[in-house]
Amino acid sequence: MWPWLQNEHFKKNALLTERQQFLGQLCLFTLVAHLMILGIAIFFSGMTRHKDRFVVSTQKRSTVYVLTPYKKQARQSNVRGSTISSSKASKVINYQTYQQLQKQKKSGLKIKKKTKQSKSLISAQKMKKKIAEKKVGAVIKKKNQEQAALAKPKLAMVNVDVVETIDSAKKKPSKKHIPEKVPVEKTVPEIEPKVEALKSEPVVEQVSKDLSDPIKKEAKLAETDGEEIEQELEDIDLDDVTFIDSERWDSLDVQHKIQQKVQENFKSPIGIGKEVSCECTVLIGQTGKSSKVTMVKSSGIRVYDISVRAMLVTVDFPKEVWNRTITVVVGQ
Amino acid sequence: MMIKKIFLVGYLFSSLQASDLHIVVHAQQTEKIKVGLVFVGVPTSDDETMIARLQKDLEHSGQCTIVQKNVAKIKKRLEFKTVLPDDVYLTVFISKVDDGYAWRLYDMLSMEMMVGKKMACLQRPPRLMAHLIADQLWPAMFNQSSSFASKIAFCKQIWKKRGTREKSYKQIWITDLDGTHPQLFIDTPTVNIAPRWAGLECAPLLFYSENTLSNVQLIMSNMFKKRHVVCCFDGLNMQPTFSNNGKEVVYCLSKDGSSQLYHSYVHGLSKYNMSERLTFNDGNNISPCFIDDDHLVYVSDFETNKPQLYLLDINDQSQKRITDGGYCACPCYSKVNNKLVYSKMIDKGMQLFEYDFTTKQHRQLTKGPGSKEEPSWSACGNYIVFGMNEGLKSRIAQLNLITGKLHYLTSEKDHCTYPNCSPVYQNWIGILKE
Repeated sequence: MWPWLQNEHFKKNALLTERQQFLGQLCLFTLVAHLMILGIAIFFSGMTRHKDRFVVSTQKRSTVYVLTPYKKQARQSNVRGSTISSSKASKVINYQTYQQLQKQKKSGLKIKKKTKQSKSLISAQKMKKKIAEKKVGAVIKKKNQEQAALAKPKLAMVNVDVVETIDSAKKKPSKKHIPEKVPVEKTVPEIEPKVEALKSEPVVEQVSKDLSDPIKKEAKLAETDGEEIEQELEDIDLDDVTFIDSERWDSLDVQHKIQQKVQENFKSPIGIGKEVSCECTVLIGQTGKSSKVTMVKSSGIRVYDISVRAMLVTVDFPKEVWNRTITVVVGQ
Repeated sequence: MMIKKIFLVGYLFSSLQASDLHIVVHAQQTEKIKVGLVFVGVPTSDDETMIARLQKDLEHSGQCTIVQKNVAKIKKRLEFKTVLPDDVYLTVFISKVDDGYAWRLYDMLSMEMMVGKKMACLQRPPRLMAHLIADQLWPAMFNQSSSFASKIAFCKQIWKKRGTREKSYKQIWITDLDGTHPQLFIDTPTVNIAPRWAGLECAPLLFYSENTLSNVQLIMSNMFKKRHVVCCFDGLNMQPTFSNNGKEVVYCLSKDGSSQLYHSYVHGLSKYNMSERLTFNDGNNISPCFIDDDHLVYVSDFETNKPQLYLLDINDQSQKRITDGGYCACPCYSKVNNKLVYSKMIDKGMQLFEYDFTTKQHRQLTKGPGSKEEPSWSACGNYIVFGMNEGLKSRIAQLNLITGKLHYLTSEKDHCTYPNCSPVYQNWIGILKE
């Protein structure tokens, strides 16, 4: 394959048999291929990084950002529009919270109705619970029978929460009915308190009658937190949501700093129309000052272009963008 | 080794590709921009007059502050920065060349010339040269139309002794766009009202109505004050409006009783002057104003007994009401903005309103005391000149639509009315040249 491998001296010293030679060649080939692939991957990841351009607007509108979990880059279909507003009223929530808030919003109306229900409705609910408990009990029995037939199922039996509740009284099926919700209680400490209170509020109102005092105390706390969260819920418009990935989240903070600095220093000339904007590329030096400002797209108004360029020359950029090139679009 | 090198190069290259941030920022504050005005050379008195006039014209807009300097010579571009302060980023350098001036607009950040032009004097006065240079500079800087060289005609009431009594007359005066350099144009011993600029850009004319013992006749005057009676029917003959091509005119005549609109034009085939009546109602139809060659807006009270604005199609004479109630009068159209300005009675005074033909929306422009009447758009569409009546006082005022500021063009002591802005004529003759 390679000439130097065919060298007799090499064959004598390094490799003895043809089989060994073949194996050596194969190993070398795979090593080189892996290294090339690694290099290309690093190269292209660098290229895609510098193409990651995002636009931030400083309009007064507030936007809710949803941080998508385990995703490096959010899909374009999830991103609404090409602008992200970074005003002070913007909020960032994680994806789980977003989903829970959506559910809460849908069920929030139902919960409010339940608190005002008459006794007849409440008794109907109790009947429904009993029926559900019976069904769950039947399902649990079937599972136990299946698990008893298998060797390993013992472990599964232990892991299944339902098995533990079989020994308890029939009241516990009410807990079984809440297995969908009991895990929520267990995971409460993991989740942020505001979210946790949201989740527990409807649960606690229903279960507080049956459960012991500590849970009632939690319910009371949850109620007070729930009030605060209700207010936030009202503030958050889940219809106007922008999905961002982890990379974008990191740069959002930087963008906000730059916008603040630019807005503090920029004063538009009088008499310029609202739709006017110009785009400039700024090369930032080691001290945070721009070393070069070039006009990429003119606004068509010389006075406006010059005032923008003059402003970009004087602005002190934050440390995160030192020794970098940024593109700034300044509009009315 | 080669593979290692390739690997290292690829890694370095990828790391050096710094990520570009793309940021959009919206301005929240505005300010006047500082513009430098430098005369290069030894200025004469005319040059100084021109520079001073140019500075006033640019500052009158309210959009910029002029920093003026005189420099004998500039050898190198680096010397530019020493002439003016550091916060001046845009500078106009003017120098005298042959029989005229040359101006150059410089970007002080990059020290590059952006645009430059020459302007021949042609025996024009320095004041007019300043207006013309300002009209060239303004679009280059702000990408907006300008009309610094346009004029405003208005009526001024005076009292003259005739025998034992004092009689009031109305003269017609002409002034620059900012109210400076007023000149008496028509001075006849009668009442002259409602001046209207007309004519082609190369042949400016002024129409006005003159009171006589028997009627109010329509007079035409050229810039050399040579007058000619255009229309002398019984009753009122006034308020002509001209089409864009200057070949059609619509005016008001009250020879048949109430004021009606008449359309005069040259017939395409026979080449005869034709005249036809446009309105046939019992109301008073006044203040016609051409929108385009086929449509005009006028005021009539035939429907509601209060004057309203109507849009009339000249071809089929169909009409459509624009205003909804109130007392509306004095429409004036701006081709640049595609908007109409008119006066409307609000409480006990007239206020200026604007109607946008694009959006079909009305918007109130002025508030506060005083009655604002007879508005007229400037040629650039940035100013509205109108008569402001406050009790016994009557002055000509100018509203800057960009800055929202009000500026009085005449003094408190003078009783001035009926302002009308001219287009920017290309031929400055007669009084326009003075």
